[in-house]
Amino acid sequence: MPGIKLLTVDNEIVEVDADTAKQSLLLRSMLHDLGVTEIDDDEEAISLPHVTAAALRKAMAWCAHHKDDPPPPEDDENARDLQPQQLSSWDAEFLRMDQSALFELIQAANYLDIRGLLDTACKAVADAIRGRSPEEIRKAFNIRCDFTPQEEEQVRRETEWCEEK
Amino acid sequence: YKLKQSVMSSRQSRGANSRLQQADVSNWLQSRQRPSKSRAAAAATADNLPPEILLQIFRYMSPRTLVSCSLVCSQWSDIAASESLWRPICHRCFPKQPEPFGIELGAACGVWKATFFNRLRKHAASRKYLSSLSNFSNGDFRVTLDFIGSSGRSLEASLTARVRNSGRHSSIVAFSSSAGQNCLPSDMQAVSRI
Repeated sequence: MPGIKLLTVDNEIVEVDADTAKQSLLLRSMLHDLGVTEIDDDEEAISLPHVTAAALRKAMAWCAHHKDDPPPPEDDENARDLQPQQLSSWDAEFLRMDQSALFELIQAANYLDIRGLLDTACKAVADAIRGRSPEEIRKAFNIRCDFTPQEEEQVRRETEWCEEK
Repeated sequence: YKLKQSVMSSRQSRGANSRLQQADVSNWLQSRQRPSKSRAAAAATADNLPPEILLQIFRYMSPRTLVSCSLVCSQWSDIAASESLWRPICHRCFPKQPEPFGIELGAACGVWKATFFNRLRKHAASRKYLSSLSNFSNGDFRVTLDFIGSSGRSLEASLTARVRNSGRHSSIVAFSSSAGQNCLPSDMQAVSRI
């Protein structure tokens, strides 16, 4: 298998399998434009200004596992929302990492344009948030509440839930 | 940026300090107006999760979770009000209802978010009203209703309700007003007395 060299933002050169890398639409078009077919020791590494080595390795591991997946469906928000799919146990296990690593991976997937991984990882974050109160979410993500009391009251009013009493 | 540099160096030395990174996440989340240039220049750490990714995460949430998220901070609130989130939710929860109009278009928050909550309130009110009628037998009943009209004003109407009792429960089959117009119970927003 031919490999390609990628230079990550933390100045590491990571060698990845070209076929696996092509699941990234960004890398696919880069490789196409550059006409890269096989590894060459003199070849300069492709610079990835937004991706850390750790996130890149993770992303490539995900791509390698999912290389035979059917392509994701067209971006149809209605269809997608109608079929909320559970994460596979492999994905759930794969995404078990600390919060900053997960965010880093999400950003890498976004930058590299790996739709399946981006969807999966975003779903995992959404799952982690489900059922938590606003205060619990703030604590988990270390967010400061910047609402004025009036603003908070307005959001509350707008989203008042109609419970059957 | 000092903080970020320390995050970077701690990461490079493989001794990532998650505490620092978390602090950085919140810094980013608070600095809503940070220009995208500086975000692009920054390394891909957890402190610069762009709004479009938050939106992507929000797409996998139920309305109830979105409500919790909109009460977290103003940035989350803005993103959680996005039309692209609430339109599919409206279509899914109220599949037979038309596109929003009237008060819903003039709403302070997103049109589709306002639409969802308007419809939810209507739905809850009509459910409550129907359950209060569960002991009625077949026949026509004179009812006086307090509406909250689409202008937001309270309106009173006197209507005739046609009730069908199936043996196990009663339901309203139709309303007709003195002017002879028909409406369905789900058109009601709030019912205060019979």
